[in-house]
Amino acid sequence: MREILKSKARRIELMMALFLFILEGIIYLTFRSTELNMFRLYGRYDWVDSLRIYGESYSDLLPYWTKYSLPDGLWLFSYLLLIDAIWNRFDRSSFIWYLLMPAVAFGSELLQFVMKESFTPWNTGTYDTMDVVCYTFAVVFIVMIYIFKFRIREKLATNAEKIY
Amino acid sequence: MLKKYIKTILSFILTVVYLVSACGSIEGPEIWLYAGVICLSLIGYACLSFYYDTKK
Repeated sequence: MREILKSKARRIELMMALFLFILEGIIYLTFRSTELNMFRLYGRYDWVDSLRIYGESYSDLLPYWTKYSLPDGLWLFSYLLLIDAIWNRFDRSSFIWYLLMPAVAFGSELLQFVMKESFTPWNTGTYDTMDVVCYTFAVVFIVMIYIFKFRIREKLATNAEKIY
Repeated sequence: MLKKYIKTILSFILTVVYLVSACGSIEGPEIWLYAGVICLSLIGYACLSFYYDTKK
């Protein structure tokens, strides 16, 4: 754990992930239906009511996708950032963790698309192309961050070789 | 260098937390039903992963 926190890039990733995860949760609690499972846990708190009342005045101003698709993308991106902070490398040992959640995210959308109606007796969501777009952006961003970090590592290694 | 098993345990905990949070964003009869199935599958995966790593 100490090693994860030692690297500056990892610290930035951890902070970004935490921020995005909280932001995603706030969007859900403010704008989404109270029928969702999370409201069994948080529904009893006064601050959630205040948040929803506050959000009502802004609800019409925000585009549809920021309330219904963006949180999903933020959730996936935040997870991938944390996995990248832990492993720092896409290799044989870590690939399963990098791929697990994108597989769950894209897989659930695919199931929703194929089944049209809910594949369980209760509502697990409906297919939305914007969800897929947001998931794709999350994956693209993490690949970009990975390449950026890889190039910096290579540059540092080359500089170190020059010194010795 | 962080030991591989610590990274695996951290990733496992993280994945469970994120999957449980995803369960919160759907309408369902019991959130713990999903969480239970997911946790058991992940524990199964982690055990198999350790088994094959130590066998090598």
